[in-house]
Amino acid sequence: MSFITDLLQHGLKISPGSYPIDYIISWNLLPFNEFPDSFIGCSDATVAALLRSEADFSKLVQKRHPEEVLKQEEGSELYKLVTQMGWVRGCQILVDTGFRYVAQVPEGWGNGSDDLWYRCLLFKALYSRNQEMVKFWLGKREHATKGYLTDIGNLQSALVWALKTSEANIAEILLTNLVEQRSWIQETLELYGVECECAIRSKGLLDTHTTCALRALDEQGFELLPSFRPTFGNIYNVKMIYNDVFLGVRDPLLTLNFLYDAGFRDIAKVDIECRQNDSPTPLHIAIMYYPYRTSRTYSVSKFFEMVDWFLSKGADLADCWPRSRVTTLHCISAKAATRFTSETGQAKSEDILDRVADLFQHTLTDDCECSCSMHGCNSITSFCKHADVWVDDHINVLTYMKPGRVTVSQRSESWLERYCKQMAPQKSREIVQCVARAADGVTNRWIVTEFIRLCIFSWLEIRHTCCDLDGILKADATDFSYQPLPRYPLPRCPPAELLRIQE
Amino acid sequence: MVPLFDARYDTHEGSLQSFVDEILFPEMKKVLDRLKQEDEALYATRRREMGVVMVDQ
Repeated sequence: MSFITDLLQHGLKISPGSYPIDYIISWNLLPFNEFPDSFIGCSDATVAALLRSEADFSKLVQKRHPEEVLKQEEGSELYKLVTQMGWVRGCQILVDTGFRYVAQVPEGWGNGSDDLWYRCLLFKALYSRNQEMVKFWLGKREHATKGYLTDIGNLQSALVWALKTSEANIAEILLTNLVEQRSWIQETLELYGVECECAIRSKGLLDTHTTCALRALDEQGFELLPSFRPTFGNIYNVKMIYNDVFLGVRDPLLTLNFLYDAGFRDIAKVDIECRQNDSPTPLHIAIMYYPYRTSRTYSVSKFFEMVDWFLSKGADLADCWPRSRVTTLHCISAKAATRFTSETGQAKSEDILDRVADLFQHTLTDDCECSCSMHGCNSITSFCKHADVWVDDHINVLTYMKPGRVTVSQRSESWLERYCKQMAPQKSREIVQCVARAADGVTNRWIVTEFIRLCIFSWLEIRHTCCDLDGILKADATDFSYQPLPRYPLPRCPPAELLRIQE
Repeated sequence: MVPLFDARYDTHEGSLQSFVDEILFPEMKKVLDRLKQEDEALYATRRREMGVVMVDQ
């Protein structure tokens, strides 16, 4: 900001392309009123807003008609601007004049999607770092219609975003709002004796079973505010807990600990299961959303720390993905493999090698039939299937079309394929080390047999007919009805055809 | 092949890494080379006639 102030002092002019919209910068402290001639091409209302001139802004806004489409768009831009500036009075003037904010959603994007959070006013209010601004939009949100809620923003994502980027007092404001909503629902159930077994047995704060409780209240004829209906089935389903949306965000464990301490305790399968709910567990979702790309914040060791956190709070390795036999262990092994092989640089620590070895020792299997394993996929199968290495691929169709021109692209290759080409890097040796550690002792001798089988299967280039976890491990998947089984489904692949492929 | 290599591992006195480097991979390489030769003998001519160019040719 001092840089921009210097530029303004040296004659820089603010144009419509450079004033604070859609940037995560706190502009509210910029002293625009010290440089009254610093605007070029901006509308009169924008200049009045940037100068925080209440009288001018009010007069100029009142000249516009909220019903006109062009004015609506300008009104939305002004909403974004004054919210991000943290100028509460400017927002109130727009509300009083009858303008409504409409988030511009790109064609094909689902309304209310978590990916559109940055277009919502609640998030713009968070950028302003102004508590009063956040409270203003929370107040408007409470009584907003269902349609307007998607433009203001969802409370669960806003809370997570605040935990990761804002000061603690702002996160507390959002948390208090959410807790008050949930407590009101619980108290109303009790007060009127509305039966909702799963909501009553919830330990801690009402979270996963909020929807069940609201359904029960709906059936009893209660008229409920749309703002009480959660966007996500569970606070731990908010993608941005696990994803590095921007550099410099805080460690996921800090967010997880805060949420747990605040009373969000629905983590074990038994906590989330009920007649209406058959969704993946929070740990399944955390694994799914954990980034594929490596960064210092999202290393394989951080991944294991996150997994351990969920396991210590009641998650279980044997919990199955809904309607399948794929367990949490399979998902952990698959994702750990992607993190394990994508990290470059120094050798893996002893702790990480031991941690992977520990995964391999578990005997949980699914019901897959494939020659890559003896009795169905287990941890080592899932790990090896996903331990791909990204390599430069110099062979490209363009080479044939335009001789002399070689285009380099990247493709993934199984670590065993790399071994086969005698290009066994450090990663392959580290995986063999993990197997050796896991198979230490007579009890775990079976791990070597599984490993030999996987090597032979891969080197002979036999086709897998077992589960394909990619469908549920990709971080952009939001449809929890995805099924990892089977790779060759009926009726496209009848049993005889499957047998032919396996043979 | 799995029982065969499994039994070889039991008699191997070194580490798993040395088993992979000295026995499993070299033996598999022989099998893969033999399979490649068989593939060449059986299908290479017809494949070329069809216009297929294999990556490693």
